[in-house]
Amino acid sequence: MSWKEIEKNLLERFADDFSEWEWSGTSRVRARLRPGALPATARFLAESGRVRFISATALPTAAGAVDVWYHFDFYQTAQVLSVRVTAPQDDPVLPSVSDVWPNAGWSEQEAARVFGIRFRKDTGASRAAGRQKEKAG
Amino acid sequence: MTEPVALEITRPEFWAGDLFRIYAAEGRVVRLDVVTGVRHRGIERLAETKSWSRLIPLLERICGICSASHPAALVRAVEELAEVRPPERAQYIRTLSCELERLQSHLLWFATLGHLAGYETLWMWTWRYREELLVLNERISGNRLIPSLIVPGGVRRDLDGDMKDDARRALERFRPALDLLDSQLSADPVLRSRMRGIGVLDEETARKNGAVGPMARASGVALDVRKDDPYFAYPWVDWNLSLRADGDVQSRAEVRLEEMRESLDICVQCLERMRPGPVLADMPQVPAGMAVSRVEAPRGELFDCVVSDGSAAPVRLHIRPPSAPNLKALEAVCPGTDLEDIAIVLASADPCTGCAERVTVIDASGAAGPDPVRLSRDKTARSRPA
Repeated sequence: MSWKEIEKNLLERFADDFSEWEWSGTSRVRARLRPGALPATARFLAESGRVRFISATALPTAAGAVDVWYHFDFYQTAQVLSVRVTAPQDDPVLPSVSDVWPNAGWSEQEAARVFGIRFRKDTGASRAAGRQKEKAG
Repeated sequence: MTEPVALEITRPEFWAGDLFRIYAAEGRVVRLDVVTGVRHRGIERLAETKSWSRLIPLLERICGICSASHPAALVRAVEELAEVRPPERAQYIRTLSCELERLQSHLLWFATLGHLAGYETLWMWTWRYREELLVLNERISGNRLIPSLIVPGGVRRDLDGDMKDDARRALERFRPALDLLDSQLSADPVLRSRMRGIGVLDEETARKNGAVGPMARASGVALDVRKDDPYFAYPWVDWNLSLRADGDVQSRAEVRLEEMRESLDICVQCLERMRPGPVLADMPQVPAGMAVSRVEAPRGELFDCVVSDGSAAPVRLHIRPPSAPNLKALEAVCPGTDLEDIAIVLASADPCTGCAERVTVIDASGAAGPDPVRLSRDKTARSRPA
């Protein structure tokens, strides 16, 4: 599957969950994602077999919340997709993607220690919700 | 099976404080935990207090061996934000510096391999030839290690006078080292028995854990930033990707050796193809924005995320070094390994805690977590012979 096909399928599958999708140059994409959709999006990207998790950057915002930018690479291309999810200030909890990508655990640990974000493991409930959405889609 | 016993092994003479917590039973490793936090130096936080040009001396001291790669990743991001194209000659010099770093880093790895395999002569041989490279580094940059050549906009100094010819001759004097290493890897039965079939990382596990660099390429994962997302002079030189499929320690050694041959050829091409010209472009004020960049450090993909608010210093500098995912991959490789092989398996990932050290929250009251100074003292006490 090419990067363009993945991009198209991703935006179709998660149309309601991405609020921004912006190209910077020819090889950098920045997107904003609803936090609840993160595990399903991560699984979708992993199952493509062409996408690799690079790292996650936690960045405090002026409003007091914390943005976590998840960076993904499309194998053997210059493409980097950076997906932003925001942990709310009053309840800084985000779903974990370390079940999908084990090396994401280190980035999550760092964000937890420095910025106080709690990462919740994906439960069966959220996976079931994702499957329901796939059936409906 | 008997209850696993936890062994804490530190190798301060080579890895400067790596801490691997190994759980072993009946002579085999049951589990490996990589425990970091004791060498945390606040690099990312410190970076927020430095102007863009003053970041270079900070970043090149993250690791003594990747001291060209860290500035390389930073300048790629900063130049993207500032929309600056460095001069062509500067790109060739940057590439030369990065490849010299790869050569001396891989040679250091072979020295480690020799030492851990009980083959001290191999260590001495590699050290003799590594000296050629360090002297060449000093000739070009003024420093044996930490060249401080790569700066935003170009390079700090040019190759002038006889430097190019001296460099070419030095590289040719170095070439026999590769033939020597090749002969040992292929012909020495003791060395091969310590590496062949040991510490196997299959392709699927390598991909799942995000392994990069020689660790990944030895398992058949064709990842190399110089090919996938070319930068500096890499689009202008000819070279081949080194790949193996077996994923064992022998494969990682062969990949590194082949990469050294390619690095040597890249260096020669850079010296031959660079044309006279400037080596530094004017750098404007870095505007607000976010940029991500990566370079192929000796251990693999080094990734930077740089955020600017238009002021003189970054708002955020996040560094994902190659050793981080490779150490994670080691946690998957080591279970089942015989204890007598564990040192070589751990070394085969070429781990660097200087690069990979993760954060520990410092709180003098102790309320937020362990005190890193106490952690360090405890670790030193455990390392001392009884």
